[in-house]
Amino acid sequence: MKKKEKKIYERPLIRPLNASISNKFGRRTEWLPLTHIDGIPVVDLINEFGSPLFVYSEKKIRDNFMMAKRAFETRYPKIQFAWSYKTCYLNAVCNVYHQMGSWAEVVSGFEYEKALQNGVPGDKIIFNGPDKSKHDLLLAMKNNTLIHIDHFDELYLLTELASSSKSKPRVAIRINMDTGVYPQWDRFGFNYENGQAWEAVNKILMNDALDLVGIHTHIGTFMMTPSAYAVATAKMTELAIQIKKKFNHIITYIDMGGGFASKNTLKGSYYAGADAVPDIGEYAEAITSALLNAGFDRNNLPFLYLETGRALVDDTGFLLGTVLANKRLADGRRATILDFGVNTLFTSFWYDHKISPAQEMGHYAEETILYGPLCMNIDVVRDAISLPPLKPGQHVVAQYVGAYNITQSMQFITFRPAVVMIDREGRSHLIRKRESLDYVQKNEILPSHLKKLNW
Amino acid sequence: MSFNTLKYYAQLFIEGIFNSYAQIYFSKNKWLAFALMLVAWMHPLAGFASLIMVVIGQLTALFFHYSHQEIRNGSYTYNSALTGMAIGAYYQFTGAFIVWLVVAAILTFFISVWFMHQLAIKNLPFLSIPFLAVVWLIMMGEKNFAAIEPHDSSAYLVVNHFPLLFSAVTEWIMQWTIADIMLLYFRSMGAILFQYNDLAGILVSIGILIHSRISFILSIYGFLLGFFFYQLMEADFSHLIYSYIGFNFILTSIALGGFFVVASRRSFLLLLPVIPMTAFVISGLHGILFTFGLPLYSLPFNLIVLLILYFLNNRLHATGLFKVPFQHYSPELNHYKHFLNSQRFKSQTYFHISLPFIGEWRVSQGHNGAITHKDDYRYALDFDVVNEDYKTYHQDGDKCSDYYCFNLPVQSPASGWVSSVQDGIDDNEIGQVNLSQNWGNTVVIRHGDYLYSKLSHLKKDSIIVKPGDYLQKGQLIGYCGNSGRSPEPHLHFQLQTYPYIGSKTIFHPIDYYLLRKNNKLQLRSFDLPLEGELVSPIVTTPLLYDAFNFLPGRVLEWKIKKGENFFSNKWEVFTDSSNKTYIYCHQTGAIAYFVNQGTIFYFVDYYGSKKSLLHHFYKGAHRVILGYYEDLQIDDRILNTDLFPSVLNFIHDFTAPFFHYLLSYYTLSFHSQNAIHNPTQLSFVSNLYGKFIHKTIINKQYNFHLSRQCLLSFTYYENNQACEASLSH
Repeated sequence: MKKKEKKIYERPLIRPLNASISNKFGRRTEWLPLTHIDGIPVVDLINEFGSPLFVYSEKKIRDNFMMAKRAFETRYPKIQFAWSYKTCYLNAVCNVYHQMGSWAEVVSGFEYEKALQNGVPGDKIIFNGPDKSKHDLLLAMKNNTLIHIDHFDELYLLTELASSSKSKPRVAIRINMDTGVYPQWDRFGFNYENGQAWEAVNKILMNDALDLVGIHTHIGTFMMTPSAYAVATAKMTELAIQIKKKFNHIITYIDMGGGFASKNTLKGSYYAGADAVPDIGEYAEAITSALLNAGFDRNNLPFLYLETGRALVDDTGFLLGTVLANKRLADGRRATILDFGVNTLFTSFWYDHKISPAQEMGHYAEETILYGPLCMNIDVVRDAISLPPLKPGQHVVAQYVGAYNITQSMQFITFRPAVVMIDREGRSHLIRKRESLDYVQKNEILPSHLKKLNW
Repeated sequence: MSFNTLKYYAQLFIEGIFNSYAQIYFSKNKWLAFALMLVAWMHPLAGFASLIMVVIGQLTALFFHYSHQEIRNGSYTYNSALTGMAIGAYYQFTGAFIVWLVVAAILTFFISVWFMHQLAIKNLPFLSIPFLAVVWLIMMGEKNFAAIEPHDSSAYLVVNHFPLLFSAVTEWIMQWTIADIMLLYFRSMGAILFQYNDLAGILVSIGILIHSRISFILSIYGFLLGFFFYQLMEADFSHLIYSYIGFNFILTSIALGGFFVVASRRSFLLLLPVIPMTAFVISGLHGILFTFGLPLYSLPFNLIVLLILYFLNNRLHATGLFKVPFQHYSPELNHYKHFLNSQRFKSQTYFHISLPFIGEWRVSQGHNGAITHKDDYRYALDFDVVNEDYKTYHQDGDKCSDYYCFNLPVQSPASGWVSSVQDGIDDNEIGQVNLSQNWGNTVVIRHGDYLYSKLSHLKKDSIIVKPGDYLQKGQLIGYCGNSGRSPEPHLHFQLQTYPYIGSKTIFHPIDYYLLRKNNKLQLRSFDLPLEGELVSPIVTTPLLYDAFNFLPGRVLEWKIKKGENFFSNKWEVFTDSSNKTYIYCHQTGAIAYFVNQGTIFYFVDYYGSKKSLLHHFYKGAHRVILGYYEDLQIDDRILNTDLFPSVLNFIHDFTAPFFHYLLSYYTLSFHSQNAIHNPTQLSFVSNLYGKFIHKTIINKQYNFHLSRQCLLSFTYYENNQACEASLSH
């Protein structure tokens, strides 16, 4: 006989009766539990690897990537993705992308070395960003890496380095422009409207020291309007055609950067992310139709490079945690303390993360404030979320945490958690160990006069 | 008249004369022509009369401005050669005879032209009908011309004692022996040229053997079939013995076994009933013509060949037995080219129609599909886009935009004019179909006479072309949708002969596409994507595209390095009158025909020296895909004669109609490139494998290197010496 499942006991709630419709979607509650990730029970993962714990789904990474790839490749024949390292540079995650043919997009000497160590050939790395040292540039030149120039000082330095060596580095220029969205990003690259970009192009092509193979833009982050990409692509193609006209020089690729929104809900957003964010196909449509209509020679279309990070990886990552305690605040609100806070879930500064219980719960939810474990006033994971009453020791899962958390979470007050990846066969692999005291102190040097403590 | 013009006409005449003789045996082989002329001159008067008739026929053709090409081929005058031999062997040589001969010659030419053009309308050859017409006219009318007298032919026969000698042997043998049959065979061979002696027959046979092994085998096969049929039926052997009418079997056998029909086991099978039919005609008509005092000559052959060809022309599906589409005047070439082309192209005569989309799609319903591709609409293709798990949508799949293929660009499969557009029909909700406007939003494009393509179920108001627009291949026409009889978004693609929406489909393959199977790409040429297959169009790489972009008028100057020595070679690209492009080598006069449709470059034919650089290039770049695909291997076939030594080919020809034990393969794979996108340097390797059944006995390798500085260069081996050819500016 089947063992009868034990009924869940939940403490009773008292809630004011709300008869009217608060908004057109009704009250949003998070009672729906997320008990398994790719077939593995959350409890088992926590028992095996500890709490809190980051979990990545390899299947989801691959599915998302293939879907994005398909969305672009069925609209434009020449597509290349480059994995944005800063979004998540765990080697295991990077290599899933590299295995699927994605290149590496790096923005510092550190990331560049990391990509090389992962086995990415130098000519399949895009080196972006305002911070490239002379040493970085020389290394990139040696490896035939694509260098995306950010400012005139970098252009002058690179020209100087190229002239003194025999090589002709392959470069692109980063361009910023007005695409009709606010705020306009103008701190990276050369401005399109005021002629700076054209000036940079002229400086490169008049001089012959550098091989201008591409042009690059990145119009913003978490862009909710695909039409901005259509405007940007049209401006980029116009520039490529002008370059062909004036210099008879063919631009091999147009790098449209990234910035596609993920399913997360931005703080202050009226709609939930999943309802408001455009589909990847809509971005693809905007960019590729502008490219196809630009009037390029059909046998010599430029490649389209994409550096999408967040939209590909955000919903592939989960953060599992445990309830430490419950308390009532002075104003009567309920507060729940979790074992992860803003130190681990850095993106909770921007997003109202979707946080679900990891076990079956009742349907009755109560407005709750979620605190992290830090002894700091800022440590608020969600300032208002409607959750069923959680008990200490029960688990929660924060969703859409794949982007920017691993790379930006800090070692503060406590250790950073372990990271696990679940492969396509449903096996879990530890891909980053939980930090230890030794690890954190490894680089510390204690001057000898401070070694002795005289109690 | 300048020296060059004189040279031109001299060549035209001499080639025309040779071909006039060779054509009697369906050949243009100079050695066979030589043997036949030798045989004709065994009876000097016959030889002379025939030469006179050929020359007069040619002069008449020239005077009346007939095609120089046909004069060179001897097409107008091979009947004159036959008529001349027949007349020369019969009549005394006098002044009056010469006048008579000249008139007869001009008449033969006129009649040849008439039959040639009348029968060409029916897609039939005119064979030796003009000869029969003229010779019978002469024989029936000769009584009226007293000045023209028959002579005692044996007095003029140079070798008249040979048959006597053999006859003595013949009589010695009581029953038919092998030697006897052989003798009869040789006499029948000679009889085509009215030379009833063994030496003539032997000479002709040797000529045939040199010209074509298949013809030689066929001549024996046809003769034996006729012979044994006579024996079986206990027919009157005097037909065979005294008038040597058996050559009708031989000619019929060669014509239908390998010349007009591609030589194969089936063509040999065809002859099994056809040769006895020839015997029917011989015995049936012999009596009738005998009453008019006319010999049968080649009448049975003419009637049977025309009958069978007419019969073959009118089949619903021309499969199994293949008629030779382009006459190479050699049963071997006809045979090898046919099998090569059937493996290389499936069919060569199709128009270039490409896939009408970008990236990889799946064939959701193929030809003769189970859902709607039935009856008149059986030759249609449906496409959609699937993910790794072969799902067509993400999320819930309850709205069009969940489907991967929805709103994807659809483009013109080839250049052409938009002939009709239907737009404004709503996209269905998932699961619903619109049966009243079943094709939905549709574009029909006219690519040529009676060739239209139709793209249906497009998204509402997404069509950006209008009737009359000219479209380039690959131009955007609209977006994939879900209108019409479409329960979920997909693209319907079909070819048709009429411009209407709703016209019935016709079979037509896709020119080139990539097929992904087990995650490996394969190139398909003029093939048909099957249901469930994942297919994508080819994306070209500019460097490859430019290197093989041989536009007519382009001059290619090669520098060749052989060891320490340097040579140069000059080629030029031309287009012939039938719009075929070829490379002409100025040094050797060699010609290589090629096709370049924009995504694939390949050679189709080569004429000229097998030692020229052009021949190496023809072999090494036999088929090149103009897009760089790292893991893709291109497979192709090449003619055995391009790879194997001639002795091996000679022996192989004997059994070629039945099976091939020598096989030639071509493969190409990419080696390296300096930049993944828009490389400025790139190399590929091609290999030719000559196999004896499964064992490779010949391997030739070509290494090609492409760069922006020197577009093309390649290395090859000649007499075990490494050579390098590179294009100079």
